Amino acid sequence: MHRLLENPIVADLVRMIVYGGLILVGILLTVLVMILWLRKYLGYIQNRYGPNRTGPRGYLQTAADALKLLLKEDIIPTLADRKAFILAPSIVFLPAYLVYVVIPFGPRWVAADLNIGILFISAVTSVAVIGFVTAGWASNNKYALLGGLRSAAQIVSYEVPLVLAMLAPVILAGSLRLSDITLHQQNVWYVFITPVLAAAYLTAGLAEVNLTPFDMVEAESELVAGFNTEYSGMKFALFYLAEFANTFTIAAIGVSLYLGGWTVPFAAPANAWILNAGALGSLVAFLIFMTKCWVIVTFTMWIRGTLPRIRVDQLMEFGWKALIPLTLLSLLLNALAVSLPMRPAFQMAGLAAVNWAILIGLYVVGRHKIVPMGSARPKESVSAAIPQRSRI
Amino acid sequence: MLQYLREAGYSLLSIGRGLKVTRANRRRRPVTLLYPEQRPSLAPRFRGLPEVDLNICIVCHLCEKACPTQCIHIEDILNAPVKGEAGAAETKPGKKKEAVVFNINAALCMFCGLCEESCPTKPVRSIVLNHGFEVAKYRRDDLVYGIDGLYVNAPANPPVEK
Repeated sequence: MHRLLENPIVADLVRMIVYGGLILVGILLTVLVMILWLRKYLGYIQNRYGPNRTGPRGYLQTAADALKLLLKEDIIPTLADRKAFILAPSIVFLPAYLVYVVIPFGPRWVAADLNIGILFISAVTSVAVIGFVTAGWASNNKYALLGGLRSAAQIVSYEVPLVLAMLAPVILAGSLRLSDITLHQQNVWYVFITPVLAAAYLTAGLAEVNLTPFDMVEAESELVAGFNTEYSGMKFALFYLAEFANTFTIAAIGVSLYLGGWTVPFAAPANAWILNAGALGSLVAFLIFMTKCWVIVTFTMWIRGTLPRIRVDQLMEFGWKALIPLTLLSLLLNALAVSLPMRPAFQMAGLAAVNWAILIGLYVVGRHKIVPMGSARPKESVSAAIPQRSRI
Repeated sequence: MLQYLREAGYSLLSIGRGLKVTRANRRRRPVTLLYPEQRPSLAPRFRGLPEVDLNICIVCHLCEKACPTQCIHIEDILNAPVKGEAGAAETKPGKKKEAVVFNINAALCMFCGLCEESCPTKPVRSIVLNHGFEVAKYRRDDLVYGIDGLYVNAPANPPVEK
């Protein structure tokens, strides 16, 4: 047995199976907790309790739901394209699963620390679109098809700003490897240096995983349920799982790229301790990473409980006319800053100054209530035109 | 261009304002009433199931006529036996009407309160829409309340604060 493990191929195989299993179990547990937390959180926002009947304080609700979905009859419509119909949920789920391979949960806790980490992520996540379109097409249902096509349009168009926003840390760190990018943020997180791009990343990420301001794919009030209308039982559960796993994935990538991964901000000694403390340090790092992820996930839920869904044309307009130019310009700024003949600290400081100046400028300019572009006359003049009765 | 930037800034700020609103509500207590455990505190004039006090009722049929859904059904005997002065055993026909059948079909009742308004007995009305609101039954027949089933002189459901 020992000698067998020394064989590099066998060792790799064992590592693959163990890491794969760990990540899969981790995703399943995370999603279970996430669904419950989403329902509780939305409940609190809406002044209600959320699920509170199953188990102590409703904590077993998602487990019960999952069990129910497992036991349900798995219906495949007669006229559906059987093979594609069965394949689609897996295609949607797979990218969310694969991304975790390159995410550094701790100093040494990476399943495979690829030197092309970001490229791998952007390549793998774009596969999910195929799953959505396949599901919509295979269902042989017009609402499902509409949902699938919408999702294709949306995800393909938001892929561009998402990847552009993911490139900024690459430029700043000079590496595509995620653990390098994390280590580069030991002193200052990139969110403080390029807040504009971080915001763009979050926005494009929300659109990429079909979260609420951009959840055109399953616009219940317009399409029945979108691409998964005809799905039931375990296949539907897989779509649901993929949706939440994708949300967590976006949060995890964002944390690695902009929120410093497992590092503590402005505390170099703490980071040094984590790096040198071995397994315990890695565990602490993992907990820090997970906490950050959960904060981001909760923030997306907060947005979900706040913002209404935007229209399809607005979605496209925002993506192509606002987000892509914004990310392109910010990226240009990043590249300029890095190419300046100065010490890296000064480059970063200059970039941060410009970024914060943009944000503060937007705040100053947009602080007061303004008249919408379309309206002909400002409101004050209308009210001034009406004669005042009380004067008589 | 400036207008564009202003709108961009304003919309960003309004996202922040919206987030503030939801955060404020997130900190507020849920308004949900955990019903079977917590009972609602009903308003004094809450209109629940009609209740009849047959001791005051003069069997005038006015409520039966007033009912828009005909959920009240009354049958009476005119010459109800009245106790004589001599003793309980001796009875003679009197003028007082007495209800033999007084059915209220809760399935038909729409809790409008017209029966209560039409009731002539003073100072207390003999048919009153009281606080009974848990009217669900397993069988349709159980929803018809007869003489013995009416909540005669039943106290109002004691309201429990949540």
